[in-house]
Amino acid sequence: MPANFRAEIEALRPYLLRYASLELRGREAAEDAVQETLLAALAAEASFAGRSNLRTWLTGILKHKIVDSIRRSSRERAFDLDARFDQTGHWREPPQAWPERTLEDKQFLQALERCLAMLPARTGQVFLMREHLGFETADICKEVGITPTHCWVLLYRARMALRECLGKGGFGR
Amino acid sequence: MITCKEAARLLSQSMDARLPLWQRVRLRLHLAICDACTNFSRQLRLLRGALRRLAD
Repeated sequence: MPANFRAEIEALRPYLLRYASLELRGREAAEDAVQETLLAALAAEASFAGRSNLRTWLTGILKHKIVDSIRRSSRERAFDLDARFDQTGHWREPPQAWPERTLEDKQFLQALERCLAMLPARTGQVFLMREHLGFETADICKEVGITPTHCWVLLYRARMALRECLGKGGFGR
Repeated sequence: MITCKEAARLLSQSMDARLPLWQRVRLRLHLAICDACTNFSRQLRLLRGALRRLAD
């Protein structure tokens, strides 16, 4: 690999870092996204081959890395139950009353199915065994091979993730 | 007095197991003064109702 390609890319690092810092919260996340971008660029030098402008090309890669990073952190957040509460144990976003007659609402049930599909495989499996099939937690633990405590955590996560997913679908926090 | 964080965890757990009496009392006291957790509790029951309904 020609050394100057690496050097040209490296020279754009500060620009990319400023760009990423505008989109991502936290210096570390921005630096990671830039690092991933530079590595991807080095690996894909052949596909650049003088096409367009180097900065434009790198920014294009960086945008994808930023989206990946946002996706990753929202997924992590979805399963970190403590993140819902502040240091004093209060809700950061207090749950609101859902509208009456929600159960009669076809759109609610459709949204629920979509949200269920987004749960991680095992969380979804345990949740459906409990709520849809009506198994007792002791039987679920045995069947899936996890401890009761783990089982309760999975169920709690599933419920928290579902109510938030439904909230984003417009059914209220 | 328990916090919302603890109340929410207990509320979810109470959907799956019978809580010891002292925890039920603490939860009841918290719910009496906390709208957010009361709403959360209703949402959990609503989810259960909806999941049963998906069966049909």
